[in-house]
Amino acid sequence: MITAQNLTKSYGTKVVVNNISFVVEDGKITGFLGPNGAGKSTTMRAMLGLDNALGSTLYDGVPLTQHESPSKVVGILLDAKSFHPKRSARNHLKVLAQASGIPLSRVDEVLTLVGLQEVANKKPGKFSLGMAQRLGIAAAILGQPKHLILDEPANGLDPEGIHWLRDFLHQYVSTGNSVLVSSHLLSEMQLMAHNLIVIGKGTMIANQSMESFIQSANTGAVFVRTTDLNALANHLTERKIVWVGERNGIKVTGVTSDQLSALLFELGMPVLELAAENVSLEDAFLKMTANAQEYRATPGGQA
Amino acid sequence: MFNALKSEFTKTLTLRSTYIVAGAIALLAVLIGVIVAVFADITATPGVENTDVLNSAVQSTVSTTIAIFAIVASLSILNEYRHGTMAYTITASRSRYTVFITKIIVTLACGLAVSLIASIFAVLAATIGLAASGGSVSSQAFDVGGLLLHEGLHVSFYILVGLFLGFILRNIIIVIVIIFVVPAVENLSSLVLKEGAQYLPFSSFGAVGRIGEGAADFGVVLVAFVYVLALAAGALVLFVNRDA
Repeated sequence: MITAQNLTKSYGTKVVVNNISFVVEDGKITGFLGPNGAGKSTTMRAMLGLDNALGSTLYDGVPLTQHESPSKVVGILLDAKSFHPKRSARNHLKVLAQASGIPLSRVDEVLTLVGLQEVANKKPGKFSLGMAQRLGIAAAILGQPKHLILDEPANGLDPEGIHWLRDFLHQYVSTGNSVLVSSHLLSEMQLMAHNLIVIGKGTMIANQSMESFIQSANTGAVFVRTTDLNALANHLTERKIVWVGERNGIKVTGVTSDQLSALLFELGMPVLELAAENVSLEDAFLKMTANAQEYRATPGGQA
Repeated sequence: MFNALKSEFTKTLTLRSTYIVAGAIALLAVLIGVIVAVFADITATPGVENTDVLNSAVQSTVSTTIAIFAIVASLSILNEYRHGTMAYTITASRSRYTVFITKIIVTLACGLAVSLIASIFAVLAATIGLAASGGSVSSQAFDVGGLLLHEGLHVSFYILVGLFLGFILRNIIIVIVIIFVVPAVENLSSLVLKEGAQYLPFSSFGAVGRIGEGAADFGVVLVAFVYVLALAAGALVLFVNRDA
């Protein structure tokens, strides 16, 4: 278990991480979300002692520097391109293995695991982003650490790579390990993570399970389409049921799809379409972070 | 600490640029050795031979290549920041102090090894050059112990200065400017400061190569040590407390 307590990081007068505390549970993948500039990477660096910040981070109850071999406790991927471009992939991992007393046989194991054995002796300077990510993942798992902290590991990976990463992380936590992973690929995160930590402008927005986070954004609305929308609208108003016209139907809130379907049957109206609102992680994320965007683009088409 | 040392040595030895720079220094040493021997005024005084050719070959090699050692030492730390590998180096270690000490040991060891090999090349080249120009090798007063001590210290000081400047400045351009421009400025300032100029940083490092040649030099060498210690303290404080 990773326990981050009261992490605070400032640059001059600007507070970029403001008193954030959370727990990364064992056996679970914890997604770390936030808009650009929210402070995710800074938080991860602070957790690892790379950036000097206030607060503390304990790995299984102990600060990282008090563990015998930190690389065997936590594996990191903070930047896909964190390697010397002229040192071969194998030698890059060899350097990391030696620094932590990891057997060199492990180097070829992880290269095979991430699918880079064919280019092990090549210089990684010309690797694609996806290949660089694979090398970064290989470096992170080199010491078979109990915890992984991965910053945008899916960036640049091809569909097969993303699928592999998801399966790998699920398998990784199935043995009681923990993973903290940030990503802007929300659909992927929805499939990958069990818990979510969402920050915006350096402050905590949400810290809960994936399911409850998505549900918290769910209005419970039901979309219905029938032959006489005006008549349905009148009936709903009479029964004091909240509704709003949408596209070629009506969006109703405060009733379940079962109740609405029963009402339509009672009114003798044919059901052309009936669908409970399905909120995605993206919907929930955008709703939750609407006021926490550090950088906001101009709405589409207004170049 | 042992693991960190092994890893640092591997870092150095797994880059082709290490061998290119070492080869270039060795080649330069050969060239300097030949030039010193061939152009040495062996019989400036009739009947008295110049017996200092081999010593001069080593001293000239060191003084010509010393800036390269300082810059390469600086790169050993700056490349880690530039390529983002410092995060791995720091998290693999339990303490930043260990990283700091390891960098010093490995940079010094590699730098001194290359310097020693280059000096040997310079001596061999000078010996051949000497023989070719009719000089007597056997009459040369070759002070091996003195050269090892003086030039070894001289190179070590520059390596440490380059390394510490790298830790402090984190910018190779500024480091290069300091290593090349400041000694030139110090030379010019000697016109004003006269004897006092020898206490300026790079002038005092040069005096390390002359330890024991005069009582007055000892004070200068002491000042040089103080400069290096001050740089070391600044580098350590910043390395431990700054964001990686």
